[in-house]
Amino acid sequence: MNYEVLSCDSVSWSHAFLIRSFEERLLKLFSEGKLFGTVHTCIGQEFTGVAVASQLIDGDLMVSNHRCHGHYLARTGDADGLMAEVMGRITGICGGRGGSQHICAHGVYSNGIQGGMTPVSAGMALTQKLNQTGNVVVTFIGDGTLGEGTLYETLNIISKWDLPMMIVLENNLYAQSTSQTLTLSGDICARAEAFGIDTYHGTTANPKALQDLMAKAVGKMRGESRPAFFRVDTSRLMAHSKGDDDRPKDELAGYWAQDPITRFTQEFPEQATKLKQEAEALIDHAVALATPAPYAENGADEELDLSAPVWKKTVIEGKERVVTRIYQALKRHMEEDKRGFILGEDIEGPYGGAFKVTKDLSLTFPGRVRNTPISEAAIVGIGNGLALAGMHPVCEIMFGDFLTLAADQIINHASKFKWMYNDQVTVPTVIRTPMGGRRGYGATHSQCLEKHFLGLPGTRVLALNPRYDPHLVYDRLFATIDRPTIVIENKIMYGEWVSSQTIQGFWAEHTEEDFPTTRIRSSATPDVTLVCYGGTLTEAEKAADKLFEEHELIAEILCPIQIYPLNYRPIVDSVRKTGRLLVVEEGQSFAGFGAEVVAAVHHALAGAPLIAKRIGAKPHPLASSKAAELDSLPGAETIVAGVVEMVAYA
Amino acid sequence: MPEIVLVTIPQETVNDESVRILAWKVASGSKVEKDQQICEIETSKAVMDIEAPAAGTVVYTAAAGEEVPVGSTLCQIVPEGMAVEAQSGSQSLPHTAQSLSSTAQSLPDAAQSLPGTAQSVTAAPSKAEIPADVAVEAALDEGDLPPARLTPLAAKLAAEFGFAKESFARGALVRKEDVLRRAGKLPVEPVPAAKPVLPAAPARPAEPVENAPVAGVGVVWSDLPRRKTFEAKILSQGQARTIQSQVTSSVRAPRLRARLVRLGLTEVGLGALVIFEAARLLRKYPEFNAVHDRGRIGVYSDVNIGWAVDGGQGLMVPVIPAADQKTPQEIVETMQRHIDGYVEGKLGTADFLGGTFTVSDLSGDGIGHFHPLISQGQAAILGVGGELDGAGNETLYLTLAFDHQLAEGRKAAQFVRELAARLEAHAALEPAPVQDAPEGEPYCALCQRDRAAIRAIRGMLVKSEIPAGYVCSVCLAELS
Repeated sequence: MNYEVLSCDSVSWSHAFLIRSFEERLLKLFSEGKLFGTVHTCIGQEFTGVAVASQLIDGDLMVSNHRCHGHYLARTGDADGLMAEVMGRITGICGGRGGSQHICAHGVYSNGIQGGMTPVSAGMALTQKLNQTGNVVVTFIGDGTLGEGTLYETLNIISKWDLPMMIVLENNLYAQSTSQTLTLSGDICARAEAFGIDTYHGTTANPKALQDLMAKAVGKMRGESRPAFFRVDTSRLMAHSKGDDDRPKDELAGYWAQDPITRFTQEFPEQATKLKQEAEALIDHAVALATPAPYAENGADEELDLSAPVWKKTVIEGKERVVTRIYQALKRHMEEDKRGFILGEDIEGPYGGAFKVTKDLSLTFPGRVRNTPISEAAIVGIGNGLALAGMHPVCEIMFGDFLTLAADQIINHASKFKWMYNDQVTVPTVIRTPMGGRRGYGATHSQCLEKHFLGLPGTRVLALNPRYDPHLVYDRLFATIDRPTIVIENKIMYGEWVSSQTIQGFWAEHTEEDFPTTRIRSSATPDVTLVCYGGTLTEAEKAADKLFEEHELIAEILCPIQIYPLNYRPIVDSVRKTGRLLVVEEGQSFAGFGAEVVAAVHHALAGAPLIAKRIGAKPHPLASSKAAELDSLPGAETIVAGVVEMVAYA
Repeated sequence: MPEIVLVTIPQETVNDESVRILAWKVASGSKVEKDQQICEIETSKAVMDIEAPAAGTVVYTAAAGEEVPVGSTLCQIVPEGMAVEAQSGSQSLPHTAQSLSSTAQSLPDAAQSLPGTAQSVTAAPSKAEIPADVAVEAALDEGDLPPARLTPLAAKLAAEFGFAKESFARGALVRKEDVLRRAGKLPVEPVPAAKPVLPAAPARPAEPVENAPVAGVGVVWSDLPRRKTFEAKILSQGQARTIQSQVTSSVRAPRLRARLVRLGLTEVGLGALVIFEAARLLRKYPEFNAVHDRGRIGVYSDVNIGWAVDGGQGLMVPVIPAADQKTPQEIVETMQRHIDGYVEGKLGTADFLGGTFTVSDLSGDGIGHFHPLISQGQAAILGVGGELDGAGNETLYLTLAFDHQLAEGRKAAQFVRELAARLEAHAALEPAPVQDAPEGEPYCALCQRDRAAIRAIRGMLVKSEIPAGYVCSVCLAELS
C-alpha cells in the first residue's frame, strides 16, 4: 500500500469525510421520509470537489450539476445551509426553493439539465476575462454529459475565445443506469483535444496525485487564460439517485476497494474515526438546525397592473428606417453601459449582421461585439452566464426560427435562475431575433414562433411595431433590464420607415408605460376591436382602411408591445365599446396569443356579450413559393372577411 | 390633498347585476354641489336618484338608456382646481372609490351560461380583476385630428346633397348614414353603434339555409337577380319580426273611378286617393304607422307611404314623404315622378328611404284578394284589390295586413271600414247618371239596396236629386 496516495493535507481529508457523512446522512433521512424528491449522492467521488476546491481563490466560480453536494461542501464547508436546503427549509441557501439540484451560494451554482450549465459557465468566464479579474470558472460534468450537444458548442467557444474555464469530467462509467460502454464512442480526452484544449487525466483513487495535477492545471489556466479539460476517473459507489442501482455486486465491491476514504479508514483508523466523528457532529448540528425550521414558501407572485391607462398621441420625429433606430439604440446602450456586450452570428462589421442591425458596432466597441460560431444554445447560454456575472448582454439570434435551438437555455436556465436561487441573482439577458414571413425564405426561415416562449414566469417578451419608436423601446429596456427579455423584431419591418402616420382618418396613440400598447383609432365609436402585435400591425391597418372604405365599418386596433406579461386592460376597455374582438397573429393560433387574449377579455367582461374570433396562419408550414406563402398568412383580406362575418353574426 | 371621487353603482337589490340609467340631470363637465341630484337609475324594483357625494365637476361617458353593471363606475367628481383632462407625467390619477351604499361590490363574478351551451362558464375570481377606474384619454386639439374622411358611398351622397368635404369636422369618419342624418333623412338621435346581443336561440346563420328541391325530378338552376335577393332580405325581416294578421273590407263605391276621371286624376288616381285618405287616417290609427321592437312600440313622427310599382322592370317601392300633408294632386305628381324615374331607371337611394307604411295596388290587374307582406321596420301594409262582375261593375277590396303585436283585429277592422267609408264618400260625390224615376221597385242610388233590404235594416228611402232617384237613410248618414 502506497500511503503517499493518501497523503493529502488534513483540510482535504476533513472535507472529504464531511462530504461522505453528509451524503450518507441524506440517504438515511431519505429512507426516513424526511426529504423531498430524490438525492444524487456523490459517495466515492468526494475528492474531485476537494481537489478543485483546494486550488480556487476568492472570486473564482464553481458550477455544478445535479450531483453537486460534494462540490459545494468542498468549496464552502457550509453543511448547515446545504442541509436546510435539501430538507426544503426556508433557512436553506436558496430558501428551500432550489433543493438538492439547483443551488446557488458563495460563488457555487448548479442546475439539473445535463450540459446546460457549460455555456453559462463560459459566459461567466468571459466576464472574468473582460473585467480582467484574474478569476477562473470550474464546471463539473459527468461522462454521461458527453452525449449533450451544448457541451461541444461550449468546448469550441472557450477554446476559440481563450476563456479561463475548466471542465472537470467525473468519469464514473455510468450515466444513471446505462454503462458508458453502450453510449460512448471514441475517447474522452480526445474530444477536448480536438478543440485544442489542454487535457488532464487523474483519478480519485490517488487523491494526492489528483490534487497535484489539479494545481498544475488550474495554475496554467489562470496564468495563460486558456481553457482546460480535466478527466477524473472515479466511482459512484451508490445509486444514481436513491434506490435505483442494478450494477452487479462484485463490480461494486471493486469500486469500494478503490475508494480512498475506505482505504484511509483501513490504513489510519484512529484518524479516520476522529475525522468521522467531527464530520458527524457537524452533520448532526446541521440536521438539528434544519429540522425545526419552517418550510420553503412561494412568496407573492408578480401581479399585473390593470389600472386605467393614460393615453398619449404618438408623435415620432425624424424619418429613419426601423433598423436604423434599433442600431442607434444598441449603440447608445454600448456607449452608456460598460456592461453592455453583444454576441451573435455574423454581427461584426463591416458585414454588420444578416439584417444589418449591428452594422459597425464591433468597430466602435472592439471586443464587446463578438461574432460567435453557429451555436444558438451557446449564444444564449453565454448570455446567461454574462448576465449572472453582472454584465448586460444582448444576444442576437439571426432568425427567429433558430430560437428553438436555444429553448433549453431560455426555459430551463434564464427564466428559472432568479426564482430557484431565491432572488439572489438577476438574469438581465436580452435576446433579439426577427420573426415573420412574406419573403419566400421557406418553412424554417419564415416562422413566427414566439408563442412557444410566451408564459415563462420571470421573463418578458416584447414585439416591436412600426408605429412606436423602437429606439424608445430599447432605451426603456436597457434602463430597466432586470429579467430575461426576448425582443421580437420583424424582417420586413426592418426596412420600413418609423412613422406615427397611419391610415387616413385615424391616428396613433400609446399608453404611458415602459412598453406601451399602441392604439390606432378614430374619433368615431368603433364597431370592432382588432388586436395584433409586431409586423401584423401593417396588415391590420390595411384591413381597417378597407373596412371603412368598402364596408363602412370602423375598427380600433390595439397593438401591445409587451406581449408577455400582457396588460390586457386597454383591450378590455376597447371591447367594452365594441363587443367584438378579433385577434390576428402571424403564427399558429392554437394555444397562442389570441387564445390568451380572448380568455382574458372574456373573464374581464364577466358575462357581458362578446363575439370573439382569432385568425392565425393556416395549419401547415410555409411554402417558399410566394403565392402559396401569402395564402397561408393572415392578411388584410382575411381580417376584413373575419370582421364582416362577426358583424353579420349579430 | 383633494382626490377624484368615483361614484359607483350601488347594489340595491340582490337580483340586480346591472341598472339602467334613465336620465342624467346634469351634463358631463358641469359643476355640481354636494348632494345635488346627478342621475336617475332604474333597478328591477324601483327608480332611484343618485346624488353627488362631493362638490366638483361631474365627468361621465355612459349615456341615458345604457345598462351599467352594479359596482362599476357611474361617473367621477373632479374636485375644484384639478384639471379635467389627461394629467402629464407617468403617474396614474389618485382617486378613492366611494360607494353610495354600504354594500358596494366589485364587478360581478356571476356564473353565466352562454345560450346554446349546456354548461355554465364561470368567471372564477382571481387577483387579476379589472379595477373600476376610467382611462385617461389623450388631450387632442383640432390640429391633432386628421381631416374628415368619407367612404365612397358617403362621398357620393354628400355630393348629391351638396355637402362639401371640407364641411365635415376634422377627425370625422363619415358614413352613408351620417350624410343622410345631416340631410334630415334619418331620426335625429344617432343609432348607437350596434352592440351585438347574443340571441336566445341558436343564431340565424349568416348564410342562407338550404332549401332542397323535390327528389326524382330534373332541376335547372339559375341565379336570381340581386334586387330579388335584396327584396327577400327586406321582406324576410318584416315577416320575422312581426306577427301578422289580415282584415279585408269591400268598398261599395261603383262610381269611384268615374269620380277620379272627373277630378282629372290620372291612372294612378285610385292609388293616390287611397294614399291620401290612408295617410290622414294613420294619424288616427298610429299603431299602423309604427314599428315593434322588443316590447316597445315606436310610433313614427312622419307618415311616409311607400307604394309598390312594378312595370315589368321589377318591383320597387318608392316613398311619398309626408303623405298626410299632401293634397291628392300633389300625391299624384309625386307618384308620376316616381313612375318616370322607374321607367328611366333613375330612382335614387333617397327615393326609397323613410317609408313608414306601404300601399300595394293590384286592382288594376283584376286581382281581388292577395296577401301583402309587411316590410322591414313597418307594422302594416294595405293591399288594394278590385274585381269586375259580369255587368262590368267593379268592387274594390281593401286588405290590411298588420302586426298583431301592436294592434288587433277589431282595430284593423275599424281602420279598413273607415278607409272604405271615406272612399265611398268620394264616390258618392259623383252624381249618378241622370235617369227617370225607375219603374218598379225603388232602390237606393248609392248602395243599390231595395226597399225590402232597407226595411230589414230599419232604414228608409228618401227621394233625392243628387244623386238622382232615392237615397237610403244609411247612406245619407254616411254622407254627412
